[in-house]
Amino acid sequence: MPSSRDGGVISATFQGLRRMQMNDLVRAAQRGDTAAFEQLYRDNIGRVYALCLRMTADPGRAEELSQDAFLRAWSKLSSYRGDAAFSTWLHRLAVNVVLADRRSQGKRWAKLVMTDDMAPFGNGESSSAAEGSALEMDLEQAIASLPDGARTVFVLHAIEGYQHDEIAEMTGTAVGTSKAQLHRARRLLREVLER
Amino acid sequence: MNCSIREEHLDDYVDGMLTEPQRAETERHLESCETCRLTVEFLRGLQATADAMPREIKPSRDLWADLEARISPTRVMQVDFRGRGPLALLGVRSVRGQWVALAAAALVLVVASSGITAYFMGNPELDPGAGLPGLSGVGEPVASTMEEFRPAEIGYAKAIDDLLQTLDDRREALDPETLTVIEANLRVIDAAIRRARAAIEEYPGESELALVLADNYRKKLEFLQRANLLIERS
Repeated sequence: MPSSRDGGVISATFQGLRRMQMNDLVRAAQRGDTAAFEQLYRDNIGRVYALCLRMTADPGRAEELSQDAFLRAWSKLSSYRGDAAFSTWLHRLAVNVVLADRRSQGKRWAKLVMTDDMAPFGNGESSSAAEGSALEMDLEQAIASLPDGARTVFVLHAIEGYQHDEIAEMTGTAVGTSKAQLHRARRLLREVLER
Repeated sequence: MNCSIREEHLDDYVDGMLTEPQRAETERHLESCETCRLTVEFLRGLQATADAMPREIKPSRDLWADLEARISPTRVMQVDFRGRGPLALLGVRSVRGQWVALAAAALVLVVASSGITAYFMGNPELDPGAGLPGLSGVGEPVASTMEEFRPAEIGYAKAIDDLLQTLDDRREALDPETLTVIEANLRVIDAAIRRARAAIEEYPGESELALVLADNYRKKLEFLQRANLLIERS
């Protein structure tokens, strides 16, 4: 229970909340302040949702997983020590939520590693829509059409900036697997974008 | 590819993962191999495009209300705070209406099992405003943007601050459970205020939204007055 006016929720007028820095918000949220946690949510939801959307290629599922990520963050706030930026901690947690969800659905990573299914790209089928310049195809859509494993590594490495050893740790695979998936993603994207 | 260089090697080259001798050898190869040059060109262009992609994407709806319900540790119930509110004047089918509905929906107050709940649900014996700083000088706003609402907001903020100061000065007199309920409800109302402000900024020109915001401020004032009266009578 906060004892001072400045530290308590009672004194947190909306102006005060807006001025709070991220660390202040985190500390308040760690004390159970849902208003502070809401501000953390609003500051970070765009990045978390973008990650979930790109990793799942499913807007509805991405919304559910984004909520799950914040729910997990709320329950684990006490374990956040401030060693990394809160947004970094939250982002990593969101990645784990998405990967755990995938595992729970039986789409195990190992099953995806050596798959070379080109079906999502509709290979061999003529398409008038694709008649125009393939280079104009939106990269976002091309990423969404990748197989799960290749898409995950491409998003984590090429967009989010994780290194292969970090991806390997998060996915429970070898560094070589991460590199192989990235290569596969790039090759598939080239086929789509240059079609 | 019609050369001996593996594509994975070009990945490593683009990613800067080759040793210096490997890199130099690859660059010599690129001078004479158009196929590999095109591959490298594509990979660099792909990464440049990926780098330029937005790092943030807004979901199609505000997820906070659902999330808040999932993290709330306290039982909640719907309270019609004196039956007021401009929501009744508005439809809720439009996007703007959804914003308004969201702002209004936030006013779900936390209650406790103890008798203190009655104090915050319209106890007729309580007379908000009597002998306390508060509503005086804060009139009905005529505004449709946050800029226009600002003078009224300053007035509300001043009155709220006075009441918060009074409450804070007396907080020692409150039992922990009551203080917890008060703080929880202030958070609920503050969240509603923030949502209403966001709605006005999202849809400037909608004067009804300013009424929603003003109503939320009044609810906060009224709640604080009740809390102070509770302390006075305890």
